[in-house]
Amino acid sequence: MKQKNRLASRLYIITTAAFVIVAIFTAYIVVCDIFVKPTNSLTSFPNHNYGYTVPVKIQLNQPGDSTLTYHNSDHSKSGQMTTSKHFTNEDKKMFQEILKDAAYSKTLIIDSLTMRRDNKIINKEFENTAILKADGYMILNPKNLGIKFLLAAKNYLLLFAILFVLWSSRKFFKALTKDFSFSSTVSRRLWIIGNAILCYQVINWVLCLIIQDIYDYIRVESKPTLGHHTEMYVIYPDTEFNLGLVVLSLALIVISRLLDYGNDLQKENELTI
Amino acid sequence: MPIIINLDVMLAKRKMRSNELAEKVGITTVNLSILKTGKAKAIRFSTLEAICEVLECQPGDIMEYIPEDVPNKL
Repeated sequence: MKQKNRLASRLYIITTAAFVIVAIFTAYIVVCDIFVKPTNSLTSFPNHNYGYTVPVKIQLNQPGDSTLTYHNSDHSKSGQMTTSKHFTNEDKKMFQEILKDAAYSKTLIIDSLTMRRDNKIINKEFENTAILKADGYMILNPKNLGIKFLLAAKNYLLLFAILFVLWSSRKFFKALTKDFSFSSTVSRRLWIIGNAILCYQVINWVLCLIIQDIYDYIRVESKPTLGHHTEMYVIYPDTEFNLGLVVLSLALIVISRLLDYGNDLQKENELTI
Repeated sequence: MPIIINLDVMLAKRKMRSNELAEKVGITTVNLSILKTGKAKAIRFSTLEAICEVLECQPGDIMEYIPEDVPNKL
């Protein structure tokens, strides 16, 4: 029992530290968003002047006879090959020009690309590609205040969800540290954590659907020149829906019900003379 | 609960105090109090056996079944 208590108290310390760090980070971002003036730096925090990050899917229609040069840095930890495209100096110059140009109300940044062709991960066969699909991020800065609020809400939802889950986990482990047994406090905390994760997923998914409805797609097409085919980029908002987190939240809710049952059994046992 | 515990009556009949019974049966006075006030959810056969042995009575002497719709004797 002592060892279990020690584990709970250690987890309480870890969650408390994580909560404090995330709270400071959130406060820093909020302060940046409100007070820091927008810069043209692509690596600065997006704020309400600069725009909000939205995950997008990028579809690249490339002529069959073209060759794509890329910097390959494989990360095979998850079993999937991720290819990172690094910005060249020319790319940076081009983006700086676009950022400075008042005619553009929207700017985009592509951070990292997961290259796919017909839903299959491409290894090293970049020649004769037809369609490439990539995951990326786009910074949107709408003029409409309603849409701006929607994007801000989506951006802050994750941070506040993490803060809430960490705070609830902290309370959960605190209750276990005091008394490592079935109790209504423990089961209620677990139920709250499960529901918070589920609510976050559902709200985020709905926000993504609304954003998808507002921003259908951005299409960039090059004019065909002699001997070259048309190159086309289609960028559209991605739907973020993590099935794993949904299953985890449902599992937590079921476990909380089980703990409730355990609590009832414990009470009955305590009242057996 | 329709099961009524008449432990007080038996204690009075045997002129025995709760503390003494608890000590002889081997349970705490708190648990005996829970049993007497009818808050207990269940009673172990070993506890019942010990109580009957100490009070020299039958299980029916210390507990009684009264249906809930029947008005109380008192």
